[in-house]
Amino acid sequence: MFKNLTKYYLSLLLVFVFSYGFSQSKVTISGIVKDKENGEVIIGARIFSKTFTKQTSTNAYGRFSLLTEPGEQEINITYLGYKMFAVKLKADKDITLNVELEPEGREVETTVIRADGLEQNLNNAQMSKVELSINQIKQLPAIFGEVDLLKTIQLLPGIQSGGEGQAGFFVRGGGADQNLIVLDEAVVYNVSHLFGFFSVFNSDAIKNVELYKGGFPAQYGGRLSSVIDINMKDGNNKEFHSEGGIGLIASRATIEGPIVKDKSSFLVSGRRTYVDVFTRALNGANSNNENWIDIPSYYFYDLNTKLNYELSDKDRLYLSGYFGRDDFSFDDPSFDFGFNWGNATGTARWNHVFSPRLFSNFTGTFTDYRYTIKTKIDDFELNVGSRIQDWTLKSDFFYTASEKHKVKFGALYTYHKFGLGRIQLQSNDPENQFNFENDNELFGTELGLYVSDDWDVSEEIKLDYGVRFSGFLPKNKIYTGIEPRLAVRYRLSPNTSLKASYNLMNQYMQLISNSGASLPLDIWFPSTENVKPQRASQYAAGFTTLVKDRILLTVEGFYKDLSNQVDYKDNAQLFFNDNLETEFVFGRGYAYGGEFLAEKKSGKTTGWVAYTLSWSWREFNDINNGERFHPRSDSRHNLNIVVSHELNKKFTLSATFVYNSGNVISLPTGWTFVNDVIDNAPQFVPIYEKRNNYRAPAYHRADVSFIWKFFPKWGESNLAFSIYNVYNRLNPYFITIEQQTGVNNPLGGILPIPVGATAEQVSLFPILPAVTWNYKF
Amino acid sequence: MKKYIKFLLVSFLASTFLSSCLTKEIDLELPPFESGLAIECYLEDGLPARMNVTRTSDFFEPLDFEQLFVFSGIKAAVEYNGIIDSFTLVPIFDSLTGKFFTYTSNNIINLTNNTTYKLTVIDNSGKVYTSQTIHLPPVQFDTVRLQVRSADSLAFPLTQFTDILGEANYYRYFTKNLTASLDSNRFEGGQNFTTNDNGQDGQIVQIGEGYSYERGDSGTAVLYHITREYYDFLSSIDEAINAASSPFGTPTRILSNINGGTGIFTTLSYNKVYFKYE
Repeated sequence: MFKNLTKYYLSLLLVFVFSYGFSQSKVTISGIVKDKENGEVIIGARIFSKTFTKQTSTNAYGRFSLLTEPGEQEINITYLGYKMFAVKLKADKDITLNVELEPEGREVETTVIRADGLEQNLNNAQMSKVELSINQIKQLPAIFGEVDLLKTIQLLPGIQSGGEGQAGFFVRGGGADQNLIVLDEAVVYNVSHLFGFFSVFNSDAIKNVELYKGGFPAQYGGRLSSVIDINMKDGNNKEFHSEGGIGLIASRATIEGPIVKDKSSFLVSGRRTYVDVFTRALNGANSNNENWIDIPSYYFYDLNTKLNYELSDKDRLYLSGYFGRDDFSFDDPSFDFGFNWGNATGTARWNHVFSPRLFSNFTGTFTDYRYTIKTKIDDFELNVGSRIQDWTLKSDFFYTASEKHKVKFGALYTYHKFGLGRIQLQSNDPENQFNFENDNELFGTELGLYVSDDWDVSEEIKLDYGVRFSGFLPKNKIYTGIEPRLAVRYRLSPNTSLKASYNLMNQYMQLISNSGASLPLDIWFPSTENVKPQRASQYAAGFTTLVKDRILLTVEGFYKDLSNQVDYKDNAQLFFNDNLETEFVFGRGYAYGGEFLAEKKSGKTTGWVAYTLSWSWREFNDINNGERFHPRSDSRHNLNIVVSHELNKKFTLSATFVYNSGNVISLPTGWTFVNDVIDNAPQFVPIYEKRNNYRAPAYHRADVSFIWKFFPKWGESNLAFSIYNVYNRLNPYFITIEQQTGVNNPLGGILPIPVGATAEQVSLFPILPAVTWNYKF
Repeated sequence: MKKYIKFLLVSFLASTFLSSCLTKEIDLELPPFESGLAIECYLEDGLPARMNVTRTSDFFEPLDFEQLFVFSGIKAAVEYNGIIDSFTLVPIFDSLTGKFFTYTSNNIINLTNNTTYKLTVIDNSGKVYTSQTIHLPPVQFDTVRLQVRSADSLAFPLTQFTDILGEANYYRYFTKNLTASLDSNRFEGGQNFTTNDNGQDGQIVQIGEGYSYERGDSGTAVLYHITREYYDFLSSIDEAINAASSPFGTPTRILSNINGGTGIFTTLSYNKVYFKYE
């Protein structure tokens, strides 16, 4: 099967390459665009031949290749927040143009730059994509002052928060496990710290974030609903710098600098919480207090590292890694409990320029997520754990086939190891020693081949089309999928584009989670002989228009059809079950809706207004008697307003407002009397009739922040004041419903009888002020 | 810096204080609940069948005893080996345990292994509820011994049994320190859980518990060999109770083997031992 697919893929690739032919009369201007101050490559910079009105943009490695007419011409290179680079060239043959753009103070603005960041949205066929700059994210208010990339993403249209205090999120009605999150191309499986309150991404180490909700480019695969592609900074290759901050619950520090100036650099960035320092001190101070109950210890930390080296003008090597852990423990003479979890990722990349028109990237990544729980009671020890590991090799090629065709192609191989559950039970009691161990592991190989073409059909029409062949090889089974990708843009006027897209995606694993809350205990389970891959087709259409060169309005509608969706039987036994598949039920789903986004990216006032109206449904024969129901990802209305205003060089004020329709949850509607046969008292047991039969109250809150900058001789610092939930809205975190029982049992005896029931809403965060001191030198 | 640290501490404490009072009572509008019959019927070797017929009720309604127990209009029979044994209304209430059964079969039933037993219940509207179960052979304890800790002479019962090879088996395990249970100042300890032989088919299963037995204490251990249906029923009611009050619970429909209603019909197959810590 794969042999045939490979043949098909190669044939298609040859058709792409040769059908366009080589225009020998053209010349290629290629090179790399970097930041002049720190040498970081700039992703998405626009390269424009003013003379011949040809344009392109830099890829994820800052490289570009512009095929243009020979002769004298003026080339402009622009990127939001940088001074425009303009040069006149006489291009009679292929030319290499390596450029360093100079960052521009915000007080100096030109119309060209103001419009440029938005112009690309109008020009590209790609839709349903949002880019966030880390500077933008850092200006926004954050809970406890901890800047959080994933929380900011949830302020965008089509992204539904999994709930307060949860890192999980839903994109266009898809499940929380249908989002592919990659850090320097390595998959990050669990993106949260502290049970979901914070994300694992340290903002000081991040360069940029791209989010795809639909119209997925062919190079991405493996998840149904979204791709979040996060790039770490390369490290300053001009001079040494440090930045960091001290916050309420965590501090962070980053050091970066050249190893060989202009050739290579490094970056090391760390973050750690210190709540455990306070709790340990409190426990210590109360060690003689008999009534004192020790507070458990908790901390998390992250470490990001990166190294890059320019081997030559044509070769560059990157090595990067992430390591993070959460550690929760409770120590007592008779009872010890330890729970730790975390990710480790490693990436090695080699960029190579084969020719001015052909650029390549070869990548090897490693990912590991694991949790371990250790319990010790007297002489007995119980250790349980689970892990997932990936080893990936991939190659990506970017080929400028002609002035109208830009071709991308590549391949991916991933070996997955799913450690579903490991249990070890032992007794150190000298009079009763034993040791029991059990491991449950599954393996699978995931493959991908893709080719796509970005085709300028005419001035008005642009087409981005391609196909991805994916495959998954679990034990005794081969799954394959052909995934067409299509995006089209029609330029209605210089300021307005109509866009449409279609894509099909396959997903070969799912997250097993039986809790309403997102927990580190959730495990990834692969497609197997009995569990078919999840599949989604998504159709989207909309328009983008630029208003007064400053505000980009985007309106999109989408319909997503999901098949082979996995849910669980009632009373599913998901924890340490060797036959987990027997607990699954399979069904379908669909989601549809509309999104509105108005964004302003430049000027003293920036921000966006996003509104989403959507529906999401699931249908399973074995759930709700086959009647459709709303999954947790269903939310009718979402409104997000984000505003940042630079009062002057020293002060910046920001505010956000969030409104989400409440999440659906399952609540009991009745109770039944259960006698039982052993000496438990009879019980009144809640009856849950239908899945997700109640919609919780709406969630809304407003946050504000105020950044006060200082410019001491040694560098720059600021105090970031923020107030989370400024009007102290008590939003529902979860709802409990409990019977009230009385003792007026007319029959006598010990049976407590129901006299009614009450519902309680538990909220997580009231108004929370925070301050963080940040520095940079 | 000193001021800054002071500010950090004040903010941290203020946040902690504010976080501690975030619960409020709310009104819920839930879909209407339609009451139905709940049937709980147990067959035990050498005893007449015991059955409780009750009505399910809206979660927010207070209990109405007159409505809870169904004392009239019920016709019921258990059928096995060609025998049909009818039920009669004989309300029995054990004030010590709070157990209440409304109907009893007319005859003593001698259970035989692997026999199928069928239950039919007809209510006063003519609605028919049916169920069937199979009597599984009891699984014997291989050993029951007290494990004593020399440091303080406390002990716990360490039991061992061998799982039946080649089939999915489900168990309910129960222990009780009978002496401690009569003394309100004592920690009672004990076990009460359901389990299955997933991953340990045909293997020896050893179960212990915390040290809670003092010299002179007596206790009991019971190993029920239960059907998948009874296992599902017991674990689903545990989940349902847990989910109503915890965000980490899984809301679960009660898994019943009563067609047309809710509840359980099962035989009780068990091995029970008593022991004393001399």
